[in-house]
Formats: sequence, C-alpha cells, structure tokens
Amino acid sequence: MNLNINNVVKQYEIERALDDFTFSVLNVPSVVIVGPSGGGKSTLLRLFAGLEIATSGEICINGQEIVNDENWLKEYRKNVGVVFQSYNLFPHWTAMENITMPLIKVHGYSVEQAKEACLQLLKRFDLIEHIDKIPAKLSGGQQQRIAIARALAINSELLLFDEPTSALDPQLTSGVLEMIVELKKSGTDILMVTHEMAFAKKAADYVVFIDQGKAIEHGTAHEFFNHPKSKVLQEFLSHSTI
Amino acid sequence: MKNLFTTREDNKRITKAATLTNVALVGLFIFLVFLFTVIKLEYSFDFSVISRYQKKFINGFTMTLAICSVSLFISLVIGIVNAIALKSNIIFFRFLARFYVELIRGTPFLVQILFFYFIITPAFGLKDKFIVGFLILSLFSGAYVTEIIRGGIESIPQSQIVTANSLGFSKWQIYRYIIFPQVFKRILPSLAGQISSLIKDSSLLSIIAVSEFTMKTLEVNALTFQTYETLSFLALGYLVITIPISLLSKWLERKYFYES
Ligand SMILES: Nc1ncnc2c1ncn2[C@@H]1O[C@H](COP(=O)(O)OP(=O)(O)O)[C@@H](O)[C@H]1O
Ligand SMILES: [Mg+2]
Repeated sequence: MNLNINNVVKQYEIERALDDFTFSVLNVPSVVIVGPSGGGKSTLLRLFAGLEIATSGEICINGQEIVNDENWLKEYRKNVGVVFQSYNLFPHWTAMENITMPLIKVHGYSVEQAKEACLQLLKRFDLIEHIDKIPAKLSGGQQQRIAIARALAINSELLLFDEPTSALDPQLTSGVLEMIVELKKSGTDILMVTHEMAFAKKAADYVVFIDQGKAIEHGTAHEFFNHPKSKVLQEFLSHSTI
Repeated sequence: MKNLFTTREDNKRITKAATLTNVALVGLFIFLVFLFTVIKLEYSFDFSVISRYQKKFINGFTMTLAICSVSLFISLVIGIVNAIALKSNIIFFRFLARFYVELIRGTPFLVQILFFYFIITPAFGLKDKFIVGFLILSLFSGAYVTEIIRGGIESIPQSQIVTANSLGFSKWQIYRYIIFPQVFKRILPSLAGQISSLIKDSSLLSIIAVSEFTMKTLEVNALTFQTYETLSFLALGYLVITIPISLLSKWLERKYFYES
C-alpha cells in the first residue's frame, strides 16, 4: 500500500486531534500505528475510512486522494473495510445477516450470491458453526472475527483496524490476531492501530508512532523496535511489554 | 395472624390466605362506598336498560374501536415521520416537529378538541364527525408517539451508526434496516401503554358529540336516568380493552428485559 499524508489538521471543537500531520510510505503491505492514548490514532483511522473530513491537508491512499465531499465519501466508504474496537456487529442480526446485509443492500448482491460469499468466508475462518447466532450469543473474540470476515466480504484491498483486540479478554486476542496475520499472508493490505507490541513487532512491515497529533517517528518494524531514535518513543517502548 | 395483613421489609411475598383475605377486604370497602351512595341517593336499579339499549352501546363501542384503530395507525405514521424530522438536517422540519410536540404535550386535550372543533373544522369545511374525531385524536396521540420513538432512536448506540456509515449504508437504509427494527422491539411496551391512553382519551370526543361509546352512553342516560347502570357499564367497557393491553404491555416489558 502507498500512503501519502500531507500537513493534515483535524480540529475538533476544543481538541486538535491531528496537528500538521505528515507521513508517507511506499509499497508496504502492512502499517501499524502505535502511540499513547489520546494521541490521534483513531482520528487518523477515521479519516482513512472516510468517516470524517480533515480540517485541512491532503490524504492519498494508493494514489487515490480522499475528496472533501459527502457524496464522494459515501461511495468511497463502501469499498473500505473497517473493524473497530468493539460493538462492530448489529445486535439484531445473526452472524450471517451481519455479513450478507451490506452485500445485498449496499453492493447489490442477490441473496444467493451474498449467502455464498458469507459461507465461503465463515468456512475459511472456521466460524461456520456460528452462522445463525446473534452477537449476544458469541464471545468478544468470535464477534471480532465475524466483523473482520464482514470487512473482507466486500473484497476491499485495504482493511483498517482500530485496536481490534483491546476490548477483549487476553485469552481471546490470539484468535483475532492470528486471523489478521492470515489475511496479511493472503495479500490483503492492512492498516492497524494496536496496543499489542509483540504483535506489531512480529507482523508489521512498517510502524508509525503517533503522539499529540503528530507522526513522531516511523520506520520498518526492525528499525522501529530495535533502534528507536526519539526520546518519547524510547520512553513509550520501555513501558510497553514486548 | 399478623401475616395475613402485612409483609415484612425483607420478604414481600404474599401468602394465598393473605391474598384472599385482602381481596375480600377491598371488595367489602368498595361495596360499603357503593351502599352509601345507593342509600343516600335512594337509588333503585334497573339493569334492563343495558339490554334495552344494547344497540346504542354496541354502536358507540364499535365507533370508539374504529376511531382508535384509525388514530393508532395515523399517530404511528405521524410519530415515525416526526421522529425523523426531529433529527433532520433541514432546520425548518426540525423546528416544526419540535413545535408540534411541545404544543400538543403542553396543552390540555380538551382545549385542543375545542380549538380544532371551533376553528380548524369550519375553516377546512370538515363535516363528518368520525373524520374530525380521528383527526383530533391522531394529532394528539402523534405527539406522544413521536416522543416514544425519539427515545427509542436515541437508545441505539452511536457506534452502530458509525459502523453502518463505514459499511456504506445510506441514511435511509440505516433507519430502515438498523434503527427501526431495534427501536420497534424496544418501544412496544410503551406503545401498548399509549394505545391504552388513546382509548381512554377518546372518551373526551363526546364533548363535541362524536357518537362514540361515552357519547352513546350519555344518550342512554338522558333517556332513562339510570345513571348508575349506564356509567358502570361504560367504565366496564373501557376496562375490557385496557386491562388486556396493560397485561400485554407488562408481558412485553418482561420479555424485552430478559432478552437484552
Ligand atoms: N469526535 C470527537 N470530538 C471531539 N474531540 C475528539 C473526538 N474524537 C477524538 N477527540 C479528541 O482528539 C484527541 C485524539 O483522540 P483519538 O484520535 O481518539 O486518540 P487515540 O485513538 O490515539 O487514543 C483526543 O484529545 C480526543 O479527546
Ligand atoms: Mg483510539
């Protein structure tokens, strides 16, 4: 994936979540974003997802500039898969409906096509036994894996994750992380915010450290974890368990 | 002995014997009040008025059911449209919807009926009492239904809307497939309560001579002066509808409580 972010500012009423944010990478399959809470990671992800509009600056993903226009964004959002921290699934729909409804209502699939796509995905990720369960009957980890399957169903080349495991009990995180690793292996580009440093170290190609609305430091996973340059990052890493 | 009349703070359960005793006591109390009024008024009963005028009662009761059914449907439509209008980006719609809700909820139903009857009805040339009746009742009930639906919509967590947006659902699709199916289930108990109110409030339409249940009963009363029988029968008629609805509402509440 190619990312090109130039002088992006995101100003909320009081808070400036992104402050002249600049960052670019060329040709890396997976980028992981880390940093202290409140640093602006989720805000950045929401801009990538087309869910919010930057106050100023420009964002390009794979050569495609994100346009500041609600109608354009509506189309754009259809083709980007996003998985949030929690509550991704709609509680009144079964696992299958959660996957098929967007395909049918947004992407124009027939009911059969959507079911077929859903079955394939659930089989692939060993989730088929949950097909008719509503979210309340699933563990947090199962919910997240179904949400990932849903994001994958639209065949987007890029998946965005915002701390997909941070709301889970520790024993449930590995299943979700394994699924993400498998996606990466099968060639899906991944942009992920996470607190799981061990995972970032192992699975990321490129890592960005965000603090106070700025990209403080970034580099390949190897450089980033083994030779952090800035003081803040060294400090941050020393407090994280790897 | 004491257990027959009181429960304890730490154990509110009522035994069978205590239930029977206290039901009997309540019955006795009501009977005494009844007896007092009968003696004081030197009232003599003639229950045959009910059967003699059954046609009027049936007509009135049917009219009440008809007006309430139509009003229920229209007020649901008003409620849905208004609840969406309250969230609209078009400021005029938002203000209009809010003004309507506040106006209706802030004034007595009786005043609304009079206003409608003396101003709107002649101005728009409405003649049919049935139409006037269900229009007034719909407008009245619609404001309360709006508030119920608005509350339901607001109980859907914002995270679901964000997720739906990220999946590319349109605003209309979000209402249609995500918000309303969940809202509908949640508000069923309050909606059932609103139906109950609607039925009771419809009796006020008798003031403008809509020939519904109360109006017809008053007619029988004027012909026979058997006030006790006719009014009791009137109350009973309403209870026959409202008690099952109240039970249904409680059942729905419990059902929803356990499901969520
Ligand atoms: N929707 C919002 N409205 C107002 N302020 C926000 C909003 N979202 C985030 N912020 C603020 O922007 C800053 C960055 O938040 P966020 O992007 O969520 O950080 P992170 O994900 O790194 O914890 C915080 O100070 C937060 O309070
Ligand atoms: Mg965050």
